[in-house]
Amino acid sequence: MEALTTAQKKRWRIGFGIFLLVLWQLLAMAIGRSFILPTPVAVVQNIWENRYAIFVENLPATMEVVLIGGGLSILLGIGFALLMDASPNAAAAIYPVLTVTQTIPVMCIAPALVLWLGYSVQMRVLVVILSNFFTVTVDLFDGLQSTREDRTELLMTYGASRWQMFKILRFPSSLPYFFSAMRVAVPWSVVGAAVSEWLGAPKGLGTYSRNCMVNLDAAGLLAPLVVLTFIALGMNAILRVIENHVLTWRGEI
Amino acid sequence: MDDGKMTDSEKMLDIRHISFQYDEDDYVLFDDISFTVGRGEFVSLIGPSGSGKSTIFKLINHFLPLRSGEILVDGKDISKERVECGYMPQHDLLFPWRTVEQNVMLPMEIQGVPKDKRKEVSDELLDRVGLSGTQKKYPRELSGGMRQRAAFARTLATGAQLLLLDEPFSALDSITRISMQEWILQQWDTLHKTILFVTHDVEEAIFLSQKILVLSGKPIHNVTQVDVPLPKERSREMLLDPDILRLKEHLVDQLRQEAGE
Repeated sequence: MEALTTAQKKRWRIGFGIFLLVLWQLLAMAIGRSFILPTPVAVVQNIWENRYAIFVENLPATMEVVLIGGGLSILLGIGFALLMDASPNAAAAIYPVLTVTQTIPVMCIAPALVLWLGYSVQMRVLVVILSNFFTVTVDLFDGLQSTREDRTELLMTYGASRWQMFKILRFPSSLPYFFSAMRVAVPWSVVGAAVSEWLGAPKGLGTYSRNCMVNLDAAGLLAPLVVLTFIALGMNAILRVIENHVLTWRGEI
Repeated sequence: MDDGKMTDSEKMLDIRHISFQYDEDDYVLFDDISFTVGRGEFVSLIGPSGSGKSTIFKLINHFLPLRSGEILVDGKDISKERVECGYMPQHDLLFPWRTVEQNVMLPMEIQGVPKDKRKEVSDELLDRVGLSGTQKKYPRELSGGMRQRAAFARTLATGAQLLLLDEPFSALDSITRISMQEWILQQWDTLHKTILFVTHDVEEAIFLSQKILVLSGKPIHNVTQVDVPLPKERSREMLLDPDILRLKEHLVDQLRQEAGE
C-alpha cells in the first residue's frame, strides 16, 4: 500500500470527521428527541447561549485542577522514574506497589478520597494525579533503562561518571519516551479533572455537565464536554509543537 | 618489526598471555594469546566473524574481566589504572541530538576541558578531517563518509595515543570505503598515533597495515603475525603485485579454514 501524503491524510481526517458529524446530526434528527440525543448543531448553539456560564463561571475552576493536577502528576511521575532508575532496590520495592494502585479504577476509589479530603480542590487534584502519574513513571523509566549499550560503552571509554552518563546520554535518550507519555498524560489530566468534578464540586465544567443531566438537558450535558475535548486537543497541539522543536532527531537513535 | 627485538618502551599495546571466556558461554574464547603493537604502527587484526575480534577491544577497554594474563597500554596495566584509548566503534554512534561540533567535543567535555579550549581543539580536528564548516550541523545532515570522519575526529579528541578502530568502514558503500581507506592512511601518516584496526576484509587489512594479526584456533590460542611487504607510501595499484595477491590468497584461505568452510 502506498503511503499517504500529508495533504491526503488531512483530507481523509477532515472528511471522516465531517462524515461522523453528519451521521450524528441525521441520527439525532431521526430519533427526534433532543433530551436523549441532541444534534451537534444544538450542542454548538448551547455552548454559544451559555458561553458566560461555561467559559467564565466554570471553565477556570476546571483548568485550575487540570493544570495543578496535571503538573503535579508529571512531576511525581518523573520523580518516581528517576528514583527507580537510580536505585534497583527502590525499583524492586516501588514498581509492584505502583502497579497495584493502577489496578484500582480511580472512579471507584474516588468516593474514599471524598471521604478523606471532602469536596475540595485537593481531592480533585489527587484524582488527576492518581489517574495520570503512572504512565509518566513507566514510560520515562523504560526510556532511561533502554539506552543503547554501544553508546554507554563509548562514554565509558571516555571515562564518564554516572552523572555525566545520565546527563549526556541517558536523559536525552529517554526524551522520546517522555514525550510519548506526555501525549497520554495531558489529555488524561482533562479527563481526570472532569471525572473529579462529577463526584461533586462547587464549580467546574464537570459539575455543570452533571447539573444539566439532572435537568434532562442533554445538549447542556454535552456542551462542556465538547469544550473540554477541544481544550485537550489544543494542549496536545502545543505539546506537539514543543516536541517537534526538541525532538528533531526522533527515530535516529 | 619482530616481537623479540621490541623493547618495552617501543610497545604501545602489549597483550600478555590472556585468556577469556564469556560468563554465559560454555566454551573458552581466548586461550593464552599474546601479541604486541609497536608505537606508531598501523596493525590490523583479522579473523572470521564471530571470532572475537571486537571482544579484544572490549578487553583492552576493560569492559570485561580477563580470566588470566595482562594487558599493558603504553606500559600501564589496564586492570590497575584507567588508560585512555581512542575507541571508534563500528557504527559512528554520533549522538543525533548534538551538533557535529558538540559530538567532537564530547570526550573533552567528559574530561573537563574548559569550553574555549574544547572549541579550539574541535575546530582544529574538524579542519583536519575535512569537515570545517559543519560545526553547527547535525549528524543527519552528513553523508556516511562524513559521519565516519566526524566520528574519527571525536576519537582523536580523546587525546589517546592508541586508537582502536572497530570495522569503521564496514557499513559504507564500496566507493566511499575506498576513499576512506586512503584517507585514514594519510591521517595515520601525519598523526603519529598507533592504530589497531579490526576488520574482516583481507584486502582492507593489506592496504592499510604494516602488519596483520590473524586469530586462529578454537578456542583461539594462536595469533599469527604477517608483515605486509608494502612501503609506507602506497597506492591501490600496489595491491595487484603478485606477492600481494599471493599474500591475500593465503590469508583468505586461512580465514576460510578457520571459519570451517
